[in-house]
Amino acid sequence: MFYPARMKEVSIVVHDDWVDELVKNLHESEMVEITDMYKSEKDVKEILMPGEAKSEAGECAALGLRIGRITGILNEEKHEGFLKKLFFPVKTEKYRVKVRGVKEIIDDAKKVLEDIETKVLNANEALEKNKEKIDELIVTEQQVSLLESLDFDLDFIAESEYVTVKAGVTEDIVELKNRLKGKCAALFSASVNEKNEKHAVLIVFYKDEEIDSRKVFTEFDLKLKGRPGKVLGEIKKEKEKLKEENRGIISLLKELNNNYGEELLILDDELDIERNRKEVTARFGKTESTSVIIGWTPAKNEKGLTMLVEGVTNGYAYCSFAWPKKPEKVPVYMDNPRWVKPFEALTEMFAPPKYDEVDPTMIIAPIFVLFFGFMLGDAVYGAIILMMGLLLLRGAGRISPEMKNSSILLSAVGASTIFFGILQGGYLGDVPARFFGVEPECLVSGLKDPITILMIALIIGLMHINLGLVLAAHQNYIKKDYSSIIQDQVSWWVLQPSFAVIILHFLGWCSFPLTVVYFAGMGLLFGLALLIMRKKGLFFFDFTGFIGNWLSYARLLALGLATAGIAMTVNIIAQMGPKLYSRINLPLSLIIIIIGALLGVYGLKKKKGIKSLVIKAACVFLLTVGLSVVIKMPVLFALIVGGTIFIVGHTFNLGIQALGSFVHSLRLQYVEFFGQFYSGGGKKFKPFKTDRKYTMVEG
Amino acid sequence: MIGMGAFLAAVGAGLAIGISAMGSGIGVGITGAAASGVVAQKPEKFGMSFVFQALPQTQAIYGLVTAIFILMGTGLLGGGAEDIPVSVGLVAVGCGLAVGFAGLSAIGQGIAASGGIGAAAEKPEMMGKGIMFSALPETQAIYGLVVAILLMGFSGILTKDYGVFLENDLTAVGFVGVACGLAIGIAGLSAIGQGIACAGGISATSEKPEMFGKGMVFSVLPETQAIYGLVVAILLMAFTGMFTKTFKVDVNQGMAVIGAGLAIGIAGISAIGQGITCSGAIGAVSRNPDVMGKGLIFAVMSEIFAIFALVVAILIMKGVGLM
Repeated sequence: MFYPARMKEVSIVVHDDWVDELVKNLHESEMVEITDMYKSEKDVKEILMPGEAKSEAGECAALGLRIGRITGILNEEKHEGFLKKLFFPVKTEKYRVKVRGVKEIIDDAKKVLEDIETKVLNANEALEKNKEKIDELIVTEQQVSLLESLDFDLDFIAESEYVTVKAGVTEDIVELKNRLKGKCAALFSASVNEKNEKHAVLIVFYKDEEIDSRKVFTEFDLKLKGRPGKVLGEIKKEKEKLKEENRGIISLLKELNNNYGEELLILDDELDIERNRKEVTARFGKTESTSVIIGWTPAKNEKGLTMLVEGVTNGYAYCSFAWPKKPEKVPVYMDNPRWVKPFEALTEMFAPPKYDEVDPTMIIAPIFVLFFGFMLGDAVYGAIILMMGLLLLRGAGRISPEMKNSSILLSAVGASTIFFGILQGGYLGDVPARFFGVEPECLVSGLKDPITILMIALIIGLMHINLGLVLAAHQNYIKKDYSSIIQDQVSWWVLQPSFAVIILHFLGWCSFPLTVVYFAGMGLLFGLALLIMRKKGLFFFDFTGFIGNWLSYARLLALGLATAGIAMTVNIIAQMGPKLYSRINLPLSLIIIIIGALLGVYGLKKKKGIKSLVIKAACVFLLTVGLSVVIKMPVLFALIVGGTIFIVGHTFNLGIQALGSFVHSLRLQYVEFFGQFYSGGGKKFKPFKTDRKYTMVEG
Repeated sequence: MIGMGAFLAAVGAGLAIGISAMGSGIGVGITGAAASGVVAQKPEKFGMSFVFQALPQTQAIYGLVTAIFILMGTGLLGGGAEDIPVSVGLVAVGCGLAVGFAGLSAIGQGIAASGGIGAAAEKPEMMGKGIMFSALPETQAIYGLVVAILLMGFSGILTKDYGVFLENDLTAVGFVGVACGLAIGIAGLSAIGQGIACAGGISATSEKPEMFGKGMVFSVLPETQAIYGLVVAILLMAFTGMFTKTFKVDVNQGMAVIGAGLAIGIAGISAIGQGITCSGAIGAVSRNPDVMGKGLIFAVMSEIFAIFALVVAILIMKGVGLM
């Protein structure tokens, strides 16, 4: 629990007739990490032949690629909103399947591909071509629309014996005319935007004249016949026709998906699993009629694995286990209880533990949660985080194990924030006192008594650092490195109380009997001597480093107070906002209404996305503000202005402070705590296991 | 009619938000430049870049919070500023210097965060580690805020209760507040060095994920100068009786210890050199893990000069009779 799981090196010799069955069962059992015999340091490899991937491996890979391509086309990702994906995702049930032989799977895959591969690929090609054509038509449509005001036959745009006719747009008609002076026979132009800045232009110029129209003229390469109005009608029809064709193709693809979708997804999974099984034999060693498998398994699996190997091979296999000789080569399996599992990601982010090193997850999990709550310290913010965590657990947490872990982590820090919020009396900052005149009961408030919180933070710091020292001493004890215990840990346990007594006595904050002061002085010298023995001239940096680590816990106070302070600032500004009512006169309110209305018109054009949402919200805000002044409703004004400042401000504060609490809580683990005992750097245990995305085995 | 105390309090509030806003502005600007580059190539990285850009904004928020605390505590917001003693006004200036100058740490954080954006754009799994590195240079701003909170707590600004300061002439304590602010504030510039080291750490970790822990060890070294600043600020508070509210300092002593604050504060800038060494050492260790110990020795060399200043600051305290 406090150390990674004990691992054993496993060696299996199996008769070739039973290899497939054994590999299948090892794959499903997920108990063994299989080592590549020829990359290992095993002497036995010298007398073995290298293993080879089974012949079906290539076929499974090729068929898997083709099936994957077809399923990709048939299941083109549906665009779900980010929040919907997180909190309300559509959960697809896994298909129940029976375990089948590789031959049957390959035959099935071939048959299905024969039935639909060409149809799907042709349909997809046609769909893509039509989409490209539609895109081209949209560009042409835009160009023709610009020329519509000139109303000429588009087949004029051509080269004849004496003249060349070009059409396009310019954003500097004066400059264009200047450049064409004396060189062109005719120039027709018409403004195409309200500000008279952009003009559609038709130029007729003598063929032997050279015209420099760079940067002022964008030419349209149109090969069309008829007047723009008529052409636009034709383009519209053509677009509709292509879209109709695409609808037909999409419904064909849907039909194919309805008929074959399930089978394809099952095959996709099965082929991937079979490919892994057929490829893994390349990691084995071979004799004439046996295969030799080596790998790692957690020691607790020894009995189960032995039974599995003997059971599935009918005794035609031999299985042996050995304790590892070189700890640095052993993969690390973090064996924590279920409630700690979500926090393993925090340890892994730093580095997984080495095999013979403490796994600190069990310790950092509760401390991280407590520190987070201490730093954020607002009951309402905590409730919001807890609610998000629970929603995530019900949403994406049902689908992805990573999301499930994140949601548990979020719920835990949310609950901790509620707890510390109540202790510190933080409810969206000082909302109860400021808006309702109620002073909530609290144990200690950072704003009123920062010194007490600082003391608590520093005491927590000392406990945390010393816990690290205890863990370091335990590791050294296991390694029988007693001199390190004395010099690296005992030295600090002597120095800390000695230094404290000397400082407190020196500052006159406490009076100690002279004997205690003498002992403290001797302790200080002894501790420093131990440090000097260990670090030589650099001992001073260790000393300042320790004080730095300790003082770093002052951030527990600072971040908590920053959350409360910003929340209070938001409340003050929200309270002051409604006072603007008296400053807004009628003309100003009308200007606000006009701006709001213009934003509304602009916002309606944009149908989707955050930008559109923000514009629409700003429109509603401005219209309500303006109208509340016009119809003389100060309450409405106060609600919309104060409410907006309140919601936006607290959302911002929650976001930035939650990020800060997360990061700084983690920093106290990584720098100040891990610095005492943990370096990490182990290689994670990667068992040979099936990765079923769409299926689950029946029974 | 406001007096000198309120005038000084206003100056303190101005320093708090003014200088920290400058720091955040520069830091956010550096990050924004990296973000623009990344988004031009990969528009889908906008959200990720935005999170990194938010990191160096916190310093200005700390400045704003301190300014609001000062304005409210001294009655410049809400009324009652007429009675503010000069000593409390001077402490407010100290708070402004602490949070303001320490807010320049946002420049270092911006350097680190821009490295984080680059790394996370290439490798999404680097986002968490990039944020961890980028959060390190915020520590200096947090120390500045801690000192400001303590000063505001001792002087009654937080609770709007400055009775002792009204009854006695405690201008000396005000000067000590300024000294504390200078010590922790200017030493906060050490974050620029830390930012450089963190950027090196991010780059190395991006190449080799196992470098995260070692990168962290090197990246926290340039923080020591800020810790010296914090130690001097706390010693000044302790020796002048702030913790126990039994103030024992005269005006001349109060003014003299500004020298101690300046010594350790300005020497804190030596961390820029240390940051450059650390960044190089991270690269070296990434290539050859055996040079970790030697890299650490090279890295701590720049710190010796900050230790000189620490000694001088303590000698000043001793010399003026505070110890």
